[in-house]
Amino acid sequence: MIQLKNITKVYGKDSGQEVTALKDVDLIIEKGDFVAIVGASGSGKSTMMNILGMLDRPTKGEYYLENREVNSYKDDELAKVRNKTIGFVFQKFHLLPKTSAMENVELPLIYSDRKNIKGLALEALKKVKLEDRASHTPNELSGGQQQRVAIARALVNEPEIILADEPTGNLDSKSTLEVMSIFQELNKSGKTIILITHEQDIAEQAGRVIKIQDGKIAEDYRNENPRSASEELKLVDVNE
Amino acid sequence: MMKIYKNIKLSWKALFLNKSRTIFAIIGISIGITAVMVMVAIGNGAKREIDNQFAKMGINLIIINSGKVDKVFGRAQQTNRVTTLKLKDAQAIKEQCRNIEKVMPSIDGTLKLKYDGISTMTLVYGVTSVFPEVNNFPIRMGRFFTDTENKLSKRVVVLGEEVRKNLFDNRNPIGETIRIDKVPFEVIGVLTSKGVSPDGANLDNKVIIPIKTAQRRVFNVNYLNQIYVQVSDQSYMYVAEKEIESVLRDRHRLNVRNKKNDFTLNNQLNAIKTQKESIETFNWLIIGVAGISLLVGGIGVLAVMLLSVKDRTGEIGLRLSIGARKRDIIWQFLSESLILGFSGGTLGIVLGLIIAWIIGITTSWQTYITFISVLISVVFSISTGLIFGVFPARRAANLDPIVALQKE
Ligand SMILES: Nc1ncnc2c1ncn2[C@@H]1O[C@H](COP(=O)(O)OP(=O)(O)OP(=O)(O)O)[C@@H](O)[C@H]1O
Ligand SMILES: [Mg+2]
Repeated sequence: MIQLKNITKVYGKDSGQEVTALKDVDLIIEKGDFVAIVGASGSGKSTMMNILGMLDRPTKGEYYLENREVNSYKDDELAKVRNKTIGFVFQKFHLLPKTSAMENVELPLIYSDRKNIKGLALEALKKVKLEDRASHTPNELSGGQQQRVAIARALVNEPEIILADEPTGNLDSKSTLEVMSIFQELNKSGKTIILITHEQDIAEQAGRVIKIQDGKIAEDYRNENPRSASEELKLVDVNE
Repeated sequence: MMKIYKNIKLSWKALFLNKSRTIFAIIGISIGITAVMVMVAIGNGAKREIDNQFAKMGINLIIINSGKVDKVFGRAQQTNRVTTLKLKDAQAIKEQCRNIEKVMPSIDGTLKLKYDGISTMTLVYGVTSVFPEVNNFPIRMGRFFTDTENKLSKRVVVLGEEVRKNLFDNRNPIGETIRIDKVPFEVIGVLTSKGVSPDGANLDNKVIIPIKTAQRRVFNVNYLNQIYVQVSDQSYMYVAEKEIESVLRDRHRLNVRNKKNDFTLNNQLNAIKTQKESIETFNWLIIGVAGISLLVGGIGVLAVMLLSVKDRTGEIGLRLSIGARKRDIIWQFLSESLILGFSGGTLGIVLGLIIAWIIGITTSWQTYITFISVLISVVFSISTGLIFGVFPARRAANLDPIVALQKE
C-alpha cells in the first residue's frame, strides 16, 4: 500500500543552514497495518508523516502510494488523495472554533462530491460515540472529546489510511485510552493506521513499531499481542 | 450549486464572527457608492432639466436679432436697437437660403392689456402663422391666426396660459374682446403652458398677434426685432448661418464700407453645447470621486481580508490538509470579499437613494436616479470586492499547509 524508497528530506537548502531530517529511508507499510512511529524529539517523525500525508514532498527518493509514484500527482490530484485516501489527526485537534462538532466533521465532505453530508457526518460521530454532542462547539467539549470529533472528521470520507501526529499528546490518560481504542477498532475494520507517539504504552498498543533515530529507521518490529486499549479502559472505569 | 451556497454561508459566518471589521469594510465601500449615487442623481436631474427646457424651444432654430445681443445677467438682451431688420429680409432669407423650413419674423414689446376692468403688463408678440411650429408651441384651446388674417392685419390675439389665467380665470376666453394698449382684439385661442425657459423667462406670460397688425396698429413701426429661421436639419445649421449672414449683409449694404453686422445670429445648438459641456465636466468629477472613494473602500476590503487570512491561517492549513484545492480556498475568501462589496454596495445604494431624495425635496436641485446608475453601483461595488479580494485570497491559497498548521 505504502512504499518509501531512499527517501531523503533536507530542510533549509536555500538558507544555507541545511538540516537532513530523513536519510535514505526505505519502508513498506501493508494495508491493515497499525504502525506506531517512535523516536526522540527532532528525529524526523513529523517529517516522515508529512511526506506520507503528501503535505510535503521528499528532497530525494520515491514514494509509492497504491503503486503510483507521488511525484507524478498534480496539485488537484494531491488534494483529492488528502480528501479521500488519507485522514489526518493532529495533536492540536485543529477544529474550527465556534463551529459545531457536526459541521467540523462535515468539512472534508464539502470538498468531495458526496451526497447525504449530514447522514455521513452523523455516522462518523457515532463511530466515536459523540452523536449526542453533534451540535456542541469545540469550547463546549473536553480535550478527549475534541480529539474524537477530529477523528470523526478524519473518518468521514472513509479513507484507507489514517495518519495521526501525536494524537494523544494533549490528552490525559483516560482520554488517551479512549482515542486509542477507537484507533484499534478502526484498524480491526481494515484501516491502515500510522501514528506518532512519544509514549511506550501507546507504542505497545500498535501492531508494529518503527523507531526513528537521526532521520533513519533504527528499529522496526511487530507486537505479537498488542495491548487492548478498550480492556484497559474498562479497568480504569472499574477503578473510578 | 451546493458549493456556492456553502461558501456563501461560510463567508457570512466568518464575517459575522468579526463584526466590527466587517462593518468597517462595508461602510468604507458604501460611502463611495453613496457619494457616486448622489452625484449621479444630481447630474441626471440637471441633464433632464436642460433637455426639458430645450425641448420646449425646438432645436433647429437660428435666431436673428436686430442689432447687437449681449448677455446681461445671463439673459440674452438687445443692447442697441436698430431699425434695419425688415419683413422683406425675412422674405429674402426664405427665398435665397437653402435647407430652410420656415422663417418667422417677430416684433415684441411690453404693453398694457385690459379686460373687464383687470389690466396687466404683458409681452406682446407679433409673429406669423408658423409660430406654433417654429417655437414648438401648440394651441391648447381655440385656434391660431391664419396667413390671411395676418395679411389683412386682423385684430386677433392668442393668449399665453398665464395671461388667460390672469384675465379670465375659469371663464371661456374665446370670442371675448381684450384691449392691447387700447386697441380692441378678439381672443381666438390659448397656447399650451410651457413654464420657464432655459434663461429663466416665463414663457406663458405673453400674447401673440399677427405681425402686420403689430407693426401697423400696435407698435407703429416698420422694422422687426427678430427673425426665427427653422433649418431642415441640425447638420445644416452652420451653413445656413453663413448664407443668412451673407444675404443680410448684402441687403443691408454692409459690404460696401465693410461695416460690422447690424444683426446677431444665434443658434440653439451653441446653447445646448455649452450646457452639455458643463455636464461633461461634472461627469468627469463624478468619475474622479467614484475612483477615489472606491479605492478607499477597496483598501478597506484588502485590509480586512488580509487580517482575516492571517487570523485563519490554521484553518486554511487544516482545509488544505483535508482535501481543499487551491481554488476552493480562493473561492472561500473571494466570496467573503464579494459579500463585503455587495453589502457595501447595497447599503450605499439605499443611503444614496435616501440622500438624493432628501436633496430633491429640500433644495432647488432636481435629483433623478436611473436603473442604470443603480446597476453600475452594484457592478462597481462587487468588482471592488473582487479586485481587492483576489490578493488576500491567493495569499491564503498559496499557504504551505504544514507551516499554516503550526500557526496557532
Ligand atoms: N520547516 C523546517 N525547516 C527547517 N528545519 C526543519 C523544519 N521542520 C523540521 N525541521 C528540522 O528537521 C528535523 C526533524 O524534525 P521533525 O519535526 O520531523 O522532528 P520530530 O521527530 O517530529 O520531533 P518532535 O518529536 O519534537 O515533534 C529537526 O531537526 C527539525 O529542527
Ligand atoms: Mg513532530
